[in-house]
Amino acid sequence: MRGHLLSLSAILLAGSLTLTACAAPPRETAAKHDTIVMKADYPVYDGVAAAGAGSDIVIEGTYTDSRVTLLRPEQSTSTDPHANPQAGADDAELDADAMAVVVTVSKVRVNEVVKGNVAVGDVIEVSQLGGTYDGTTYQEESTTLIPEVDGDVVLLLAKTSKAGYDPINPEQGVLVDTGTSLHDTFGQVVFDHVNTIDDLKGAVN
Amino acid sequence: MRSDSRYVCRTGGADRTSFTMHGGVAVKKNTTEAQRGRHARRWLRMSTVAVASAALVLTTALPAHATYYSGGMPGTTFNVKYVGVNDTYVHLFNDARSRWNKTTSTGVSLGRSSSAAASMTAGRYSASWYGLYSPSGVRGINRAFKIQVNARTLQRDSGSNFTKWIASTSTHELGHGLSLADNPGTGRASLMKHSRNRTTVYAPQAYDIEEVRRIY
Repeated sequence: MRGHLLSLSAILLAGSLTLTACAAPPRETAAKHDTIVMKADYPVYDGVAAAGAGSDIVIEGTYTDSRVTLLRPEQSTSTDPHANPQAGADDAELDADAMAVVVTVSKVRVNEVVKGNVAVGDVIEVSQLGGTYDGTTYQEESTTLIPEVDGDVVLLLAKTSKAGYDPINPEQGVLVDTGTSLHDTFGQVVFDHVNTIDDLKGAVN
Repeated sequence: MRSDSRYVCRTGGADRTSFTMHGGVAVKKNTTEAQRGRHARRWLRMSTVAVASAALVLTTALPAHATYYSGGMPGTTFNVKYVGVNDTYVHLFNDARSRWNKTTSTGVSLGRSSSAAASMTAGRYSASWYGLYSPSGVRGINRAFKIQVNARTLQRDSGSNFTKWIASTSTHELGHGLSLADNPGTGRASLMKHSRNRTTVYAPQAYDIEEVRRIY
């Protein structure tokens, strides 16, 4: 009888392990319908010098405000079919809203300038993928939106419009300054031997 | 379609066989010393099989692979439509599909249909990203996706290799449709790495192809 029980226990244990391990990959539930997790392909830079060279401005700043909006493709007049994907396209198919992406535009007051043509006290606008729009939340997998960062931010930014910027990429373009270290929004050191704003100034200039 | 079958098939046959063989063993009352010895050996063998089966299950069937992306399509055959792009990009997107369709033993067949729910487009976006993949719906039920290629930033960064960079980005984004995640933890070349050389890596690499085979 004891043998039976032991046998049964072993079978049940192995069976439950089998069922657990053989379960299908987690399916998204209906509730997740309202959240879209995007994946972006973007440039990455081999070290702080390259990241600095790829940035139009590098600043430390304080977040003040944000809005969520649609980023539509530019209306280009170029006839180069590679440079302008809409050059020669059927006008009936063009729908700028359908081609738009949801972005959060944050206002950041500049506290310190590491690089670039911007001054302390200026308020710049920084665009990032994601945000909640029309009841749907869009998240880019590697992006932490500036409003979600606790404390002041160090930003390595590319110019995107007359007054607008975006991070050179989600991982190397948005850093948190703790006073003793500069790391990304997940707490990981991004650039070796760059722990302070002064280190960053020395490395990118 | 082999979607999701890996979670069942890799271990199911072995486990069922093992437990059917041993499940009918009866242990009699009032057994002799020799019988008790045989029963003990049987129990030891059965325990060993059970533990080995459990170990096999745990080491081969868990879906905890860093390269798997749940935002992909449930199978390797699906259609896409092209939205608002010129003939140049139609050819570029056709080539991107073709690169995946040429992979061997993956079952990949990516077609083009104007009625497809999944879409590809390109434009000049004032942003630093090169490409964007946005899934929608539920995998296995109504999954679709939208791929957007950013001609503006690709042109800015690609020098004389603009076309190859568009190719690399378009084919990379279709890789997400095939459930491949970004930046796989491998030292091997991969189309899915952000750090890849976009001038030379614009087609699925051996590692990517192996991963598609493994996932589906």
